[in-house]
Amino acid sequence: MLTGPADRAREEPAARRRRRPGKGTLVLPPVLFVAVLLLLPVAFITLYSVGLRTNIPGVPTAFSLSNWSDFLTGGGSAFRGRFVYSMEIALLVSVAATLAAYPLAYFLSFVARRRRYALLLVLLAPFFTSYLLRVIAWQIILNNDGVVNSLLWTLHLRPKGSAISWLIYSNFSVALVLFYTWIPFVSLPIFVVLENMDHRLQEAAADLGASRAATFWRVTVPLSLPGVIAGFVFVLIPTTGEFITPLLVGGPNNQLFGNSIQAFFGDTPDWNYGSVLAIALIVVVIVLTLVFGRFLQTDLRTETRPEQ
Amino acid sequence: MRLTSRLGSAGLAVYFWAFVVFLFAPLVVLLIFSVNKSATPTLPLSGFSTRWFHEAFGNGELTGALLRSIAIALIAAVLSTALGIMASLGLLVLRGRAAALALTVLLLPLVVPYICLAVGLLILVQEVGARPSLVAVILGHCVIVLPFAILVIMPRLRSLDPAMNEAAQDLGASPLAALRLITLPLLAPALVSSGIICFVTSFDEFAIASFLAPSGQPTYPVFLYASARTPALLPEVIAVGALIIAGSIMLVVLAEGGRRWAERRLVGQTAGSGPLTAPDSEQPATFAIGNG
Amino acid sequence: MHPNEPGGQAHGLAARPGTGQVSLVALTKRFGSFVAVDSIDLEIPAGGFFSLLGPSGCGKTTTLRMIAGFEEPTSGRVLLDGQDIARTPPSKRPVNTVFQSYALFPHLRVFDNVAFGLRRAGVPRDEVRQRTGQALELVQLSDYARRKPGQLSGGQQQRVALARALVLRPAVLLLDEPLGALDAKLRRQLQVELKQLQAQVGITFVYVTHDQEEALTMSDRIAVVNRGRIEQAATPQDLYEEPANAFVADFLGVSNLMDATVAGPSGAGAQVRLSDSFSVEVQRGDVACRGPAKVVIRPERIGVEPAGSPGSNRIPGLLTNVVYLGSGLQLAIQLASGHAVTALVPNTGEDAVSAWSPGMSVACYLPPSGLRILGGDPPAGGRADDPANGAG
Repeated sequence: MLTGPADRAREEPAARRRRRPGKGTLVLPPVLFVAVLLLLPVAFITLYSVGLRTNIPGVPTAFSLSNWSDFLTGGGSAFRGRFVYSMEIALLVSVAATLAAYPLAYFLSFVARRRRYALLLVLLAPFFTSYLLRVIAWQIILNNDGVVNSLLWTLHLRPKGSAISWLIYSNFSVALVLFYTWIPFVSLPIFVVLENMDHRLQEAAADLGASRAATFWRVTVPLSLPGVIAGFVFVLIPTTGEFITPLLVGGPNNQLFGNSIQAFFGDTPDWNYGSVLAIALIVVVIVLTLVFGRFLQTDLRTETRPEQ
Repeated sequence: MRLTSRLGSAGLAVYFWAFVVFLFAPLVVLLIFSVNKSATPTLPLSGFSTRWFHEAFGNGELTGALLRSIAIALIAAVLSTALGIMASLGLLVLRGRAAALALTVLLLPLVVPYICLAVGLLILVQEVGARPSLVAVILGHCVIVLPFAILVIMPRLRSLDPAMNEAAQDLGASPLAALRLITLPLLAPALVSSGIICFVTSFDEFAIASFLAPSGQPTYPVFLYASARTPALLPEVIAVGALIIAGSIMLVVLAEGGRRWAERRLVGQTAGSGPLTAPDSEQPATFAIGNG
Repeated sequence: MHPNEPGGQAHGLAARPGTGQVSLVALTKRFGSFVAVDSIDLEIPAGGFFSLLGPSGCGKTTTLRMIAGFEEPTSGRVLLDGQDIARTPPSKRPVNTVFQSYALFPHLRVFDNVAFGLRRAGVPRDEVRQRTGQALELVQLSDYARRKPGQLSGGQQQRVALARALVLRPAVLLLDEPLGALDAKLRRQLQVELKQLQAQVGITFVYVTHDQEEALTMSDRIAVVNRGRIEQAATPQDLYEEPANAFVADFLGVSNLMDATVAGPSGAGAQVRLSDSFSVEVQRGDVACRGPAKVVIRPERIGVEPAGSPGSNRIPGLLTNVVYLGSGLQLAIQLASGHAVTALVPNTGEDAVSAWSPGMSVACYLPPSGLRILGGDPPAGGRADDPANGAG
């Protein structure tokens, strides 16, 4: 995972060493920085979740798993339900985005050969604009008097003032916006793996008499699977913690698990219970990362440099 | 035999461009309604007007939030790029388990959901007896963008020939001078990329800012969110949003073009190949052999 | 480069007189449990072209890096003109290096690359300009001062690296396989130029290579390194003609190493039994030893004659392969004594070349003055760099 021309010198017969710029101790400030600002907060969240700390003055602090048992087994079923709902939406969006992104990546790598990097940039450009603004834009489009509805009214396809109800503040709107947001991002790992594939393999298959469809399903797809899974995981993990989209285009029944966490720390502060939810989410994400970890290997070898 | 039939290629192209339209549609919507006369973003359009831009920039709260976000993003970008340089230099030297452990910790923010990190920082602020502040926002942003800085800087650093650093010292430069005169200038394209990515990410960050920005001092995304639910403010929000969108797209194009220009200028390429790396035995000098 | 430069001071880059003598005393370098350099003692005389020759991983580069200062010795001393510099950082040593990858700074122009060291030393601007100009003139790259390294060919980059190091007038110049990345023809040309350059400036060159031909061509003295030890240090001629042991003999060219038994004296030399049926007289090497030993003879010393030729020191054999080298013929012969040898026959014309074909029976004449006894394994008489063995 960590190799480069600099490291080839390191792995040669132990006799070869290079005096590198910098010392190993230079990692300490950044590592400490992350430790204090990420590990420590997570540690605190854990403490809150088991009652050892609390934000409510006057309440005694003692180790207690009552909030946990409530969430996992007891009357906290509303949040469990929302947890399950969030995972369902996240899975749905991830699968849909991955399936939709594959042909895009395929197009770039196999059809648009010469301009593929420029077109990739076109595909990715919206991803680099403000996420919040994009969600607000969708709100404008899907709103009860938004672009879609008012267009239908103007074209007399619907009586004026009658809005399509499921267009906004619904499962549809939340799923659609999430899907929209992540498509460009998912195409990237699939594109990378298709690019790195030796295209002569497909030629060889054709030489051996395979039809186009057979070549695709039996050569291209299996070999591109690591990239596909990487893309899938790239979407799945952040989407489980998503909360901004439901705030703007979701109704009360479409709030996701992240919104619950938010509520416990904002509107009706119960930091202890909120911490339980937060830890639950962190655990899920860590499990997903560990399970799919090898597909997330970042190649820090060399920068990918598109050919001129 | 081509890999895709003519029909297949055409179909894929249609699919691709349809998606591009789908992806850009909301952005275009914002652009259109930013110059729409009516206060409600609805069809049919009511005529061209730049009034919303004037009103937006006359709105003290909005401009205040914008400036706050820009300042925070700038500081976060500089700070995290600096930390990223340190981390990359250190990781270059570390080996085995220490390196893996350090890297895991440093990349952890990529995995932790922002909402969890945000509430965690809120707790931390409370526990140390402090109050929500913009400094806390800056620090929180640094944590989440640090992995990006490392992911951009480290490959670039690794691709540099380590012998150059030795050569610099051999010629009389102290290790610090070698870093300053040789390593850092050669890292420049990656540093710029890192700065841009960190800036953009921080500027758009909502979760941490919503919890840690003091009330009355919102960052731009926090302000944006509040305004999105207030129909009266919506057109101003759209106007500024259109500007930001246009600016972001331009930034992306410029960044890519600028990066390529910097690469060329850096090594004075005429042939457009990459910067000098250590030639190994499988790779004889690729340049034309002149008259010595 | 102009060896007959009028005015003779090599553009002001000549070595300071009386400097540049390097001594390595019991120098050792360990990486964990791996011993890369095993207590070597070496004298590198001032002002000459000295090569460290050996196979990959033998420790020659590590040794060079200890002289440069990029590795700290585990123990032992590195003496430069009598002073121990082993703990001095590389930036403070009057030693400069030409790296295998040249390590030019790609973001600086050629001029600024060469001037780098001068500027680091605080040399005033006018002097920087003058000396940099001189250095570039010396390597014939004055016209390229404003270019960037990426715009130069491999050979040109190597010259810039040279100029960059030489402009500082170091006491010793270290070169770590600098010609490795170049094609054969350019390499040979640069070998000659490097040698001439060294003669011109008179600075001690310490050159690391695994190419024995390169070392033989360029060096005044060579140290053959193997597994962290010096097998033999001598002039190219001594190494080639009088190798101390099998390793040295085999590393520099074809040695035709043969296992034999030294039976007894014979004239000024010794009688050596190659097999039960064949004995030869050997006049060189360790003629005093007795018993099992190794005998070497260089391919060009073997005389290949038609089968049945009379005379002593002749062994019948079968020609198994003929390789046409252009400048000569390489003949692989299976001797009746059971040894396989390679002989080199110069190309003196069509008749000489067409006379030999595989499958022929021949007689191999091994002249007594061409044969050399190496002694058993390990080399008889102790370590090869023991002065008693004629080395060092």
